[in-house]
Order: sequence, then structure tokens, then C-alpha cells
Amino acid sequence: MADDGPELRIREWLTGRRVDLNGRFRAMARARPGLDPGKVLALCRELLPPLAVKPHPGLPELLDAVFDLILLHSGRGLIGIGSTEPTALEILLRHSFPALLPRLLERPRSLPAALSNATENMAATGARFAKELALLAGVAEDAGQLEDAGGILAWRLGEPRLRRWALEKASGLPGKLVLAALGEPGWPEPAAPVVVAALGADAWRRLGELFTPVTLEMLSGSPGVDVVDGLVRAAGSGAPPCDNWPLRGSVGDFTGFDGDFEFPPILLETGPESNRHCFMTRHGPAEMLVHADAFGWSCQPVVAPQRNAACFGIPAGTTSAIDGKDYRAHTRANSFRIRLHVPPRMPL
Amino acid sequence: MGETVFWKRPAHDPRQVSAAPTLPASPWSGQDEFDVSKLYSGPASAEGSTEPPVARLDEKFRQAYFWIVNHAIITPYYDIEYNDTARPPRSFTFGGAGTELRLPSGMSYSSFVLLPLLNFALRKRALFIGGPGRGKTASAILMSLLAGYDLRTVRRGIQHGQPQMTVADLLGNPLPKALMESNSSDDIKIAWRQWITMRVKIVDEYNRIPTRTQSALLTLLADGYAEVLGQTVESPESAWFLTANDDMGGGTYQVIEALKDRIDIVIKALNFNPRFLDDLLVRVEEGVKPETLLPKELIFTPEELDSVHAQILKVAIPRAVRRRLEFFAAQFDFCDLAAKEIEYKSKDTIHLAGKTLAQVCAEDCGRDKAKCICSQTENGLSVRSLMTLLAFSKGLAWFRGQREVGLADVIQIVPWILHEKLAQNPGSPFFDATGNGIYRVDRIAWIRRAFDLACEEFVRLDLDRSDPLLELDQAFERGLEGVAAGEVRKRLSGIETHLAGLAKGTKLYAHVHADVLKLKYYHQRYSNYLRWLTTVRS
Repeated sequence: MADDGPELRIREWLTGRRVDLNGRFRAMARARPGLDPGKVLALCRELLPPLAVKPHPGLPELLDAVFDLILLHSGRGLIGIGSTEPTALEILLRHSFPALLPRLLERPRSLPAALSNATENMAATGARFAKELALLAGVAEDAGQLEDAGGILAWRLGEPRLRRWALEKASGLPGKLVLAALGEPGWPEPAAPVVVAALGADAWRRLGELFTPVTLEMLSGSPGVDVVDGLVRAAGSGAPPCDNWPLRGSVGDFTGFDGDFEFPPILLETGPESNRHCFMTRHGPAEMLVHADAFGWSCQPVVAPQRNAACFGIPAGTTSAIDGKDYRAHTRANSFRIRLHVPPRMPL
Repeated sequence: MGETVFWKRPAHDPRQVSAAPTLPASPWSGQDEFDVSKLYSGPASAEGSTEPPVARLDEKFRQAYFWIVNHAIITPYYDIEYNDTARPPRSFTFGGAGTELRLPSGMSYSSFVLLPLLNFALRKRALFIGGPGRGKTASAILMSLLAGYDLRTVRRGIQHGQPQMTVADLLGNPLPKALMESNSSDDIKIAWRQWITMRVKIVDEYNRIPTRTQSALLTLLADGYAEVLGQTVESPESAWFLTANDDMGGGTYQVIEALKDRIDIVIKALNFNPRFLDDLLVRVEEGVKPETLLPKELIFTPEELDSVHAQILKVAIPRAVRRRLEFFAAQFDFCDLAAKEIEYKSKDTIHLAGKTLAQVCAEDCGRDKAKCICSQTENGLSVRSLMTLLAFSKGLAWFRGQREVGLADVIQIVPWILHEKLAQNPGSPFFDATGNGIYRVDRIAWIRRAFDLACEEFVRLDLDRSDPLLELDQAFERGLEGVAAGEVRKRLSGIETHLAGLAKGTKLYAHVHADVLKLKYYHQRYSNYLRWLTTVRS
């Protein structure tokens, strides 16, 4: 018996659902008068057949969900706009969805919409998020794992507010998936718990500097449980005492360069809730909560009781400084960046 | 392809609706807590809904606002000003009376358009005041059209105040046949006027309505029903728009006080700026009538309006903002010279004695009357005024896409709510101070200044950080059930110590008076509870 083929499957779905799909188009056209029927049809022709490569009970529902996404994003002018560079949502629909097909068919209604929302929420890094999501397809064993790994991926791509959540999820996911989400798919699976412990202890550690080549080689060769446990303990322990803390990162930037600061920021006196990953700053009259780690930083405006500038032993040339237990930070009068120093650590 | 044509209309098309979002996400606006669930939530529906995402109703209201200011009413006055936290407004002072012009750094609004919209959303009672030809009735008509009524129905529903207007003209007539044939008043059938059941009600020039008819109007406006010959009809929850050419006595009849008291908000119709004559010319040459051009997508269904009302009521007013309001409201009703007993130190006591504050305030009470706000008004704020103030503050915050009322919302809305509620005491030394004489005339600026003064005093007393009653409030809100006698005695002792401290450390200022009365209230509640507790035990 000849295979039906994706085109035929799509045609059957369109025929069976014609009245409903036309109704959805009309309803969306009322809400978004810019919806172009020609573009919607072209997008359906391009984006739906790669999802219908073989029959599956969840396929009609998945096609419904993706059709809704086409209507929504086409009406908002986010896909099918003929730009030279594909938009993040075009990458997701065109490349990532076919790669993620088995996972999408598990939750055909909710997963496409959730991934579309996540891609949009990642804003500037949405395109990278969509591309790298496709790389997780072969590693994630189910849709739930894919979502959790997507959160870890979002953290790595510069959303530090996800750090705590991502680290919690990482401990329950397969090591291969965690490493793929953290951008190190080539590392051996036993490295995953060590990486999670290291980032949990200090998220200013750069993954590239975490292991010596010798350790990585050892981890590739079926290391014993006690060896991995020993590395996990070492990764999670505090840094050795050292007076000379190197500059680890600079946080923030001028609004003119896509940063959040209109004026050179100053650090504010903070309570016990602050740490090297989360502190308060003021630029001009506005106060912001800064979340930062090796993967990136984000600034969130806050309304908080007025605080004084942090001025612990201000070195020459600085406008504010914090001397924390495990980090030092300072600002300068002519700079829009907060400079952060943390104790050095040797590779494992 | 009708919609496609609509999309391609030129920008000056009078049917053009501002593209959503009308309130672009500002880097200063994301103050809500980050939640990881937000990563996977957004415009795409994850619930499998077959309907496209419904436009947010606050967004639709903002689109309506921008359509009105861009195409319907020429009102180039952005007098409801907001500023971004990080960007103070630039200001310029002009010679003459020293007028200051501010360039707001946040999205600001025209009160003449925004306030009617809020009144429409909140189903309250607004009064347009201003000279003839300023667009008062036109603005009210637009609100009716937004509610989905056609122009013919709206025009038929407008009640035009005139000296011969009878109760029957206003409400309806008994049917002649039923009147002749009925044996009792219960059998009389009334032909009610159609406007009574409309959700937007317009009464033009209400100060030209005879006094008796005003009383009938009052029943409908205040209580939501009309009565003729013992028969009644209920009115749905409605937004009222009344107009008056001159509310201060320019009408044919004096407006009865009770009717005035029911007005929730006053909207000032400002004069036409002649620099916008070109816009008028376009209307004359092209015969543009904005009331015939309202885009269909801006019309609200009754269900949407119900939902808007419910959403507005859900907007929170944080304690910090409530405290500022409490402090401000406490200033007006208090008069230390009004009574001997602390409970009656109210301006009502003075009025009940047939006197005015101006007479009583002439005596020395040991306060600087140029500074104390209490000397500026003859009266205090009614419960109705405060409830209206809370509702409109919520409405304004909702319109701006906020989930909580901010102090800026209250500052902007206060003058319009209290415009007709606060009776000025022009003899107050405050108005004799340099530069303050203008406040005798400009009531909006006066009320705004009074609020600013209250806020300055609030900050000076550091009440933002040290609310003397906070702990007591919190303890009391947790309830009395299960509180042991020892703990009650401790709290009673705390109240007495606090009262002793206040008596020793400060005069009985208006805000202290409010605190003291609340402390007495708590003392009494705890004493009664302790008495009950000890009686049960014994």
C-alpha cells in the first residue's frame, strides 16, 4: 500500500476541519485586520507538511495548534514578513518544530504554544533559543524534560533570574540533557552533577574553565561513583583563601548600548538577601535589582525603601563599593558598568 | 477583503484606531516579581482555545481614548501628567504671573477625554462644566456610542434641561386609557421614557431643570429607580453625564444640594486653542462628524463593560498609598475649636450650631493656620467622596495597565473628585500667603497643592517608615479569638503608653486626632474582650 504522504495528510486535515479553520481565520481577521489570507496560506503550505511526515493520533491536534500560531503571529506581523534574516518565531516554526516533532506529538496542544511564548520571552536571544532548542530534541526523553531543559537553556542564554530554578531542575534531568542545555553536549555524562554543583556554589564560574583536560578525560572513561562524588564535593566547596580577587564580570551598560543605565550606576547598601548574584543599584533616581552570573545579567526596576550608597572602604576612583563575604563590587563615576570580583578557583 | 482595505487607510483617516499596544512596555514598568512560569506563558494560548486571544479591555479603553483625542475631540491639553521615575520633567517658567510649563516624561493624558472614559467604565456620575460650545455634550454622546447605542437612540435619550421640564417629561406619562380605566393607582400603566433603561445617561444643562423635577432626577440618579404615580421602574447600573454651562449659579434654577452631592467627578471643558484652527477647517470643509465615525472595534458590549468594572475593582491599593490618603483625608474635617469632646471636634459640629468655620477659626487654637490644611475648608470629606476617590484611583491605574494604584494616580485624580466636594474657606490665612491668592480661583491647583502639602508633612513626620499604628492594626486584624488575657493586657498597656506619648509629645493635629480616635477604638474593643474573657473564666 502506497504511503499517504504529508501533502495528502494535510489536505485531509484541511478538508475535515475546513469550516472550523475558516471560522478561526475570520475571528482572527476581526481581531487583527492586517491578517493577510495569502500569507497565511503560504505559511501553511510551508510549515505544516514537515509536521505531517507520518500518521499519528496527535497529528490533527498538532496541526490545529500550529495553524493557530500561524494565524496569531502572522496577524501580529512576526512571521512571513519576508525579512532577510529569519525571525526567532520563523526559526522555531520552520526548523525547530520539525526537529521536535516526537515531543510535540506528546502534548500537541500545549507544547507548541509554550515554546512559542518562551521564544518570544527570550527577546534578543529568541533566535538562539529556538535554534538550540532543536538540538535538545534527540536528548530529551519526553515533553516535560524538554520544557525543563528549555528553562536551563534560557538561563544560559542570559536570563539569570532562572538560575535557582534551573539548578533545581538540572539535578533531576539526564546528565546528557543538562550538558546539552548548558552548551557542552560533548562532555561525558558523569560531568553533569559536577557542573551543577559548581554552578550552584558559584554561578560566576565559567564552564570552559571548570575542568582540566585530564579530569574531562577521566570522566569520559567510566569513573567510579566515589570519584564523581569527590568531584561534586570539590566543585561545591568554597574557594580557597586569596587576597587578590580577579575581575570576574561587568554588569550593566548604557541605555544607548542596549543596557539599562541612563546614568553611571552606584551600588546600594543591601540587606542579607543580597549576594554576588543579586544586588541593588541606583542610576539617577531609579533603583534596580540586578541579577547576574557568568551567563548574563538582568536589571529589574524596583520600588524599595531609600537606601544609601554602599561605600565600604571605597578605593580611589570609585563611587561605591561592596565588600561582600564572597564578592566585591564597585562602580566608577565615568562608567556605566558594575565591576565584580570573586575569589579565584582552580580548575578541577 | 474589507478588513484589508481598512488596514491600508492613510494615517489621518478618522476611523483609524491606534495600534495595540498603546502602552509600550517601559523599562521602568516591570516591577512585578519574576516568576519562572512566565517563560512559557505569553500571547500564544497553551490551553488549546479555539478563539483568538481576546484584546485586553484596558487596551481597548486606551485605543478608545486615543481615537477620541486623535480624531473626535480637539483637546490639546495634557493636564493629567505622569513622569518616569528616572526622568524628571523639564520645566520652563514664564514671566508675568510666573507660570510654569512642565514637559511630562511619562505618558500623560487629557482630563477632558480620560475622565469621561473612567466615569463610563466605573458607572459613576460626572458633571461637565464649561462655557457653551466646548464639546461637553459631544463628549457625553461619544460615551453612549462606545456603549453600543446608535446615534439616533443616543440623541433621543438626551435630556435637555429647560425651565418648563416636568417630572412627566423626564420620566414618563401614565397611559391615558389606563388612567381612565384604572380603579387604583396599582393599575395605572406608565409609558416610561426609554432613556431610563440606557446604560449611559446624558442630562444636558441640568441646572436649567426646575427644582421639583430635579428631585425626581435625584431619585433616579442616586437610587437607580424612577417613580410616577406609585409605579416604579428600575434603572440598570449606568454612567451618568450631566452638563452645566456654569455650575456656580449660571443656570435658571439653583441645583439642589443633594443632587450636587451625588456628582462623583467634575470634568472641566477647556477653551479651544486657536492654533488648532486648521483642524476645525478640515472638519468644516470635509463635513467630518466624529460621532458618525466611531470604529466598530471600539464599541463595548454590556458583558465587556461588566468585565471592565470587575477588573477595575480588583486593582489593589497598597497600604503605603492608603496611608497617604488617610493622612490627607484626616486634615479636612478636624477642628480643635469645634467641640470640647474629642469625638465631636468636627466641622459638622460647627455647622450644626449655625456657624461657619471662618467664624470659629478666627480664634486662636495654637496652630499655624497658614500651614494647617484644616483651616482651608469649611467642610470635611464625606464617605461618598472617599469611596469615589478610591474607585477612580483604581480606574486610573487600570487604564494605565497597572495592577496597583500608585501615589501618582491618586495625586492626579484627587482634584477632579473633590472639586465640588470641598467648600473653600477663603478667609484662611493660607490664601493670604504670597502666591497663594490664585488658589481662591483655581480649585484644581488648590486641591492638588493641598494634597502636596499633606504629602510633604507625611514625609516630614517619616510616617512612610514609622506608622505608629501599624503593629496594632496588624495585631487586631489577626482577630481576637484565642488571644490570652495576658496578651490583651499587654496590648491595652501598649495603647495607653502610646496615647501618653502622643499627649506629651505633640499637639492634637488633624492626623493625630484620627490616630487617637482609632487608639481609643482599639482600647475599647480590647477592654470589652478582656471583660468577656474574665467573666467567662470566672
